[in-house]
Amino acid sequence: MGSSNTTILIVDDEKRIQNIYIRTFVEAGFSVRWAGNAQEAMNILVREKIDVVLLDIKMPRINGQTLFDVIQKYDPTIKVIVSSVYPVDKQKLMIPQARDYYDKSQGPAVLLEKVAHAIV
Amino acid sequence: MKFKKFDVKFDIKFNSIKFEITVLYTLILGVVLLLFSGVLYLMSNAFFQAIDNELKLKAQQIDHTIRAYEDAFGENPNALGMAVQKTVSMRGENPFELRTRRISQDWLAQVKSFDLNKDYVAFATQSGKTIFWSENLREELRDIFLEDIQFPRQSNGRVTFRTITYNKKNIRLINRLFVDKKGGVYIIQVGVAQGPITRMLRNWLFSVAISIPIILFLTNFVGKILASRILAPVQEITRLARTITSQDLSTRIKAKNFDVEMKDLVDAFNDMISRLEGSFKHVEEFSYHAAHELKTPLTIIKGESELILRKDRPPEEYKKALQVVLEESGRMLKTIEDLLLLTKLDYQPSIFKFTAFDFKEFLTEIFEQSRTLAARKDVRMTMDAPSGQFMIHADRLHLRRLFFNIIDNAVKFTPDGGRVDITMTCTGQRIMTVIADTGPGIAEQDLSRIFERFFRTDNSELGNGLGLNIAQTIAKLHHGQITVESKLGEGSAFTINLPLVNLILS
Repeated sequence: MGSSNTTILIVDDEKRIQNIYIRTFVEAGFSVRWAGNAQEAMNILVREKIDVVLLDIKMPRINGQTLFDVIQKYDPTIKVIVSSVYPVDKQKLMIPQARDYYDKSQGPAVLLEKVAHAIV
Repeated sequence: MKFKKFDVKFDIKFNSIKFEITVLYTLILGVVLLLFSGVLYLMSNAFFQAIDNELKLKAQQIDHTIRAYEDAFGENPNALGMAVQKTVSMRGENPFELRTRRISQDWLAQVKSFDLNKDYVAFATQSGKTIFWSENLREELRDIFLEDIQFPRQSNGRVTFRTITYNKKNIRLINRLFVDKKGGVYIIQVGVAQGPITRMLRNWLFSVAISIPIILFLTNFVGKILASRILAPVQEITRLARTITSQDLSTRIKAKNFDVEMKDLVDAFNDMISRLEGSFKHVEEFSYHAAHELKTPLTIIKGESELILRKDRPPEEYKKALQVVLEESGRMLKTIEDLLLLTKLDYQPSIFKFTAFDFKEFLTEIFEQSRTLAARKDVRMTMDAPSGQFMIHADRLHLRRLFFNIIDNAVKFTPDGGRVDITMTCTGQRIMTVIADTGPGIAEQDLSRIFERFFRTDNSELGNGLGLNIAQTIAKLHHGQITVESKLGEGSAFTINLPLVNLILS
């Protein structure tokens, strides 16, 4: 499904969620990186070429909005898909300019669709 | 239809405050005033009655004295005239002194006791001519006395009364019919000047009569104003209360220049709304967080299951997946139980069953049980307590929960090889228990928030953010509290402060 040079960065503080998405993307053929907080995420972003960021809105320290703005400033070509347990319309209100929005309870299949859609 | 119209017009609210203050109050006042003036009227009536009675008596005495003198003068053709003269002049000289001396003495005594020489006395014929009169009676007044004299029947002793106004004075006049032995009809007149008091009384009665309706009118008017003023805040509160809904609790009543009692009502009302607002917010946040907390484990279960089922996998992967499902289910159950406990603690503190027991023995028991847990992680635990018995009043079950929550946290966050030390001390009426660990510590900006509901630091898998809050809530319900000291990289020390009931030294 995905090309091998598409790298996805998963930013989520919940290790088990991270794990599910990592396996989902790997099985679909993507390259995957992951971070549990904003600092780790930035470290990865500056060192490697990232195409898509799956960004959890609510994280303990720096919230998703701040990190989103930083990513946009850093490299506007990076496609950011905002994710959360909140429903999509609520997410849209919080971060209006994201590429797409993902409600985690929709499951991995929907996630893959959104990623495929984002990289076209 | 007709009945309905009638109903609508006749809209007097009998149990309204406005009605009570104005109409009822005015009515009561009116009745009281009426009774009062009734009493006044009766009293003044009695007063005037007394004056008339005295006049009657005076006229009667004059009558008798004249007759007495007349008899004394016997066959004298001028007997009546002389008798009247002697009586009216109220003096004592007469050629027939011996015979009349007694009568004179009596008469003069009476004149003195009645103060008759201050009164106007006249003796007139029926045809309207005054033939004898007291010195103080001038012609003008004599003529006035004679006006309107009428006696329909000629019976001796008949009296009538009149009130004359002369020279700004009121004179009360009595006319008494005097029928002579020889059948001549005459009139005895006695007039009494009514002093300033009686005049005042008359005027006063008049003023009272006039002022009663004025007073009642004013009372009603003032009453209406007062009622409006008093009721204005009540109406304001009613109006505002209607606008407050569970969606909009922001309105408050502004206490303008209300009376003190109303201000109390307004303040109490505003406070209540604030408390309600707080409660609603609390519940809103709580349900929001609760839903969120439960959604995460469910998301994991769904995600894991969906992913695994996408294709055939080796049995180990299925096992791992089911393991995840099992653990996350457990996590949800724990969260739900914790939430239920918090709700009970918030709204039904009566679930606590307080008993008295020895705190040191209790703590020791907890220590022993925690040690086994810590041993699995190679975390060393110690306990230090003073000697003696330390009785406390507490709910043993929930206090256990409190201490286990804190100790479990300490053990969970302390890496292998670390230690958790429990120190118990007693100062004054408080027992302090310190649970110190050599874990990663808590960042300064998080310190103030760790007791918040659902608050977690970065290590998110290790709990649902409710444990410390539950511990703190239990502590507060025991009239105690939990404080924490910590530095990143240097571990944390939680101090649980509880009240001591009594101290028994061993």
